[in-house]
Amino acid sequence: MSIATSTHPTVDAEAAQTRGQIHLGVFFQGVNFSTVWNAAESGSQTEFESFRRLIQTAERGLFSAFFLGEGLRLREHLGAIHALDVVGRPDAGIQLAALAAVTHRIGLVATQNTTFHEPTALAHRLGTLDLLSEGRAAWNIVTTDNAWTGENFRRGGYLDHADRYTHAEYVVNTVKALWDSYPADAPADSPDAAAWSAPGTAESVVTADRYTSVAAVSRVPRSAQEHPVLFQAGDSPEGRDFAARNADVIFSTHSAFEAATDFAADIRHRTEAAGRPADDLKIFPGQEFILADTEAEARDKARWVRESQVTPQTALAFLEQTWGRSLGEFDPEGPLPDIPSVAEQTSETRGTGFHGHRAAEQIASWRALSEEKGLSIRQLVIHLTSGRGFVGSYSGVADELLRYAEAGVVDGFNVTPYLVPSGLDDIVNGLIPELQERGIYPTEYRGETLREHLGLRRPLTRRHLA
Amino acid sequence: MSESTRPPFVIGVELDGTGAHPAAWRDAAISPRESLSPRYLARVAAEADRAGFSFLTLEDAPVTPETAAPDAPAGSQLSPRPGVTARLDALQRAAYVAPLTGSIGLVPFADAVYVEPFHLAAQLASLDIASAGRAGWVVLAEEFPGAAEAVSWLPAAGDDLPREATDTAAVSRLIWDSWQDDAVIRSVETGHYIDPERLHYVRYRGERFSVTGPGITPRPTQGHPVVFGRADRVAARQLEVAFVSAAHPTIVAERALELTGQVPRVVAELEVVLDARGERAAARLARLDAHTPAHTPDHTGGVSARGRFVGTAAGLVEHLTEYADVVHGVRLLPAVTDVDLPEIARAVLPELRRRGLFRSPVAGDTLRDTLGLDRPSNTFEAARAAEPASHPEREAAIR
Ligand SMILES: Cc1cc2nc3c(=O)[nH]c(=O)nc-3n(C[C@H](O)[C@H](O)[C@H](O)COP(=O)(O)O)c2cc1C
Repeated sequence: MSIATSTHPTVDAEAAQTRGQIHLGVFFQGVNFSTVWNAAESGSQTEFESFRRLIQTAERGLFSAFFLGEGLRLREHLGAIHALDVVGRPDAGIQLAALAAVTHRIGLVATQNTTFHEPTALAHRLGTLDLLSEGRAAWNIVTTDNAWTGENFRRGGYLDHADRYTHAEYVVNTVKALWDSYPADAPADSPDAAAWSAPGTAESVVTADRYTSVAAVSRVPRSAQEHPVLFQAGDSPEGRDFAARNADVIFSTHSAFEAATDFAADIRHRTEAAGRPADDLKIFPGQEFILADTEAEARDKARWVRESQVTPQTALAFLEQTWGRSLGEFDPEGPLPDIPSVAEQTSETRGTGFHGHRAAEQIASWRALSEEKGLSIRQLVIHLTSGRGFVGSYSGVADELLRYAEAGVVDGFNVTPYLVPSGLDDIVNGLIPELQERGIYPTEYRGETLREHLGLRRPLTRRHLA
Repeated sequence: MSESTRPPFVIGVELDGTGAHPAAWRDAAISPRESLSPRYLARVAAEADRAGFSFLTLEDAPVTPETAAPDAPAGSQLSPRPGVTARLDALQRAAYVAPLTGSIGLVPFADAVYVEPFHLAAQLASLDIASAGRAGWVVLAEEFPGAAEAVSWLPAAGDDLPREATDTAAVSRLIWDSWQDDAVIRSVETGHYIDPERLHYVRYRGERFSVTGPGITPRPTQGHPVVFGRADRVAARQLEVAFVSAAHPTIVAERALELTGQVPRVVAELEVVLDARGERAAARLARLDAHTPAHTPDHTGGVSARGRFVGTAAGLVEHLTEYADVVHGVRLLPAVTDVDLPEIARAVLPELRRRGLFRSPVAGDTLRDTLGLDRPSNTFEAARAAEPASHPEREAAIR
């Protein structure tokens, strides 16, 4: 792998400016039951207009990025397609290309795994998005390795779980080599030039690991931000180290203040250990915001959101993952099932990322909790799943975010809106002005590219690495 | 064509690069670098949309343009691009122009061999949904040097290419059908967002690829995006629009006749060089050929030759009137987009409309509406209606 040798100052004034600032991204569509689809305000999850409305609202609110997640096999529950949550999504590369045409500054982040996409296809499609958006593309690198997803692809489940990040690193390095191989200024800048592009414009990139090999010539020049910004989502120690070596931004689940503080310390340590300045890797936890004019109204709204998310059927399905069998005969508004589980592990809903505590232990602790607090099945599930998110008045939540900004434990949050397409309206109309008043939110887009707006240094591949 | 309900005559336009002639970039209003910009793409697509073309096509290949079609080798589906080293993904270019256009069909070329059909089907479905039903796909299946090495799969050659492309098209249709149109039910009563009975496993196991399904994207607006291609590259039964290329309308007519009954629509490919900007077409062509010679149309009617019209706008109107008698449409390839597209828009399409030979699509039309093609029924839905309990396994039996 060839690495460019241009040197770059370690302390970058531009980059330092982002300290104490909170950025916002939007993650669409949310995972599991986070999206409320059964309310009067719930719009289409499929039509382009929903996406357009959501991203244009985000851009009005100076959001940094619009994320599309990826799931390459529909989730299953107890052997059938899971029917209770929003399902059906567009291809990220296509949808973001269309959205590039109706936006001007917001970043466009495609979640793409390194296992079932070929490196050349990733380089080409993400590079295309970067040119179509004039430097606003990003790649959220994920490492799906399961054979169950592989059944939709020619290689099947070819990758060992233990190798997911070594292969990912090979894929990322190959993609970067392809991006680096085609200089932005190689195509002629005049129709009178001697040739369409400079001689020897893109060199062949040849790489291999134990799973695959690539010999390819790139056909996308570098963009206004050189190449797409790299996000990473993955939480294991290997995942964090991978991010520390390769990513510009890490998308985490650690949004509560203490957890965010610990996570930031861990990530900064790993980033420095990887030979980078501690602030080189930005941290964006995923988060839900439930907001209203007053604290009391927000709490009422949160109750409504939780009850809409955790329907009676969803409550039962949640328990069924642990019991490992249908609980259809139990009343979701009644007490916990008085039967033992059939599953050793809590892994019955595939594609959700649940892993497992032993079912019996889990059930015992839930039973104790529900007896102590007098909770029905549904109330228990609401109780277990409602810890996340900021719930409060606009000014109250703005004060909460001020605390994060002052402590410097996150660089931003990735909002999962519980309603589509209106789910960002509260944030943009009510919260952002409060954040701006406190001096912790951008008042305009900085620069023209995503890299500039996030205050990132030049791409790692273009910096001198020891 | 003598049927009483004659299908509409359609006119498409190719917009890749800066034109179909290998020296087009020298006469373009913009530089090669700018030809890759979203502004240029948006400008020409909006111009074609305003002009009232039925559809636009965007050539593409899995390797660099110069290696994909260096000098129009016999039988290539692509325009020659000697010296051109960059090209953006055509599916994404089509998606980019979707919100910027209102009625024109969006028909990218996409390789059907060195591709994961599961991804390709989702991409085409997404394009169809984002464009409110204006998507098509030109199935590309050629022996591109270096394409196999770029993905480290076994190379395909000879007869394997059309076989592979046919499987990819057939499985794509199954993936589109894996969601019934009414799969999303949002039943508050049952808590079901989807009816799982209306989603289907594809369960395709082939020699070179497998797909279990269902797809990740709901069934596209048109049921299936319209499948275009050449009958020597993909089995005719997978095609809804077959391109034919020949130097002379009489040969085009023969080919069209051969395809009658096999493919619903036959569209002839025609390069266009018009009198423009005070310069005669022949002089323009000579000047372009002096820069980079284009392949000469093969008057013996060899497979490779595309028809080419060199002359006035009025002459092109007469020429297309002849075509209207023998095929269902044409795909025009302007020699230089910046020069020939405005001429066609100004003096050719309006005259054909005036004569009642051609009708431009209007906002809200799907590409199927424009072509007069039915929305395809759903394989799984039909099977379920016939035999409600069956879940057919498809063991490479789709050919
Ligand atoms: C916040 C977050 C979001 C994620 N989003 C996706 C996604 O959209 N698609 C996907 O396939 N995996 C997603 N993942 C999964 C990760 O890429 C990764 O495969 C998984 O976390 C296992 O890696 P780990 O062992 O390092 O955690 C996400 C993970 C996190 C933490």
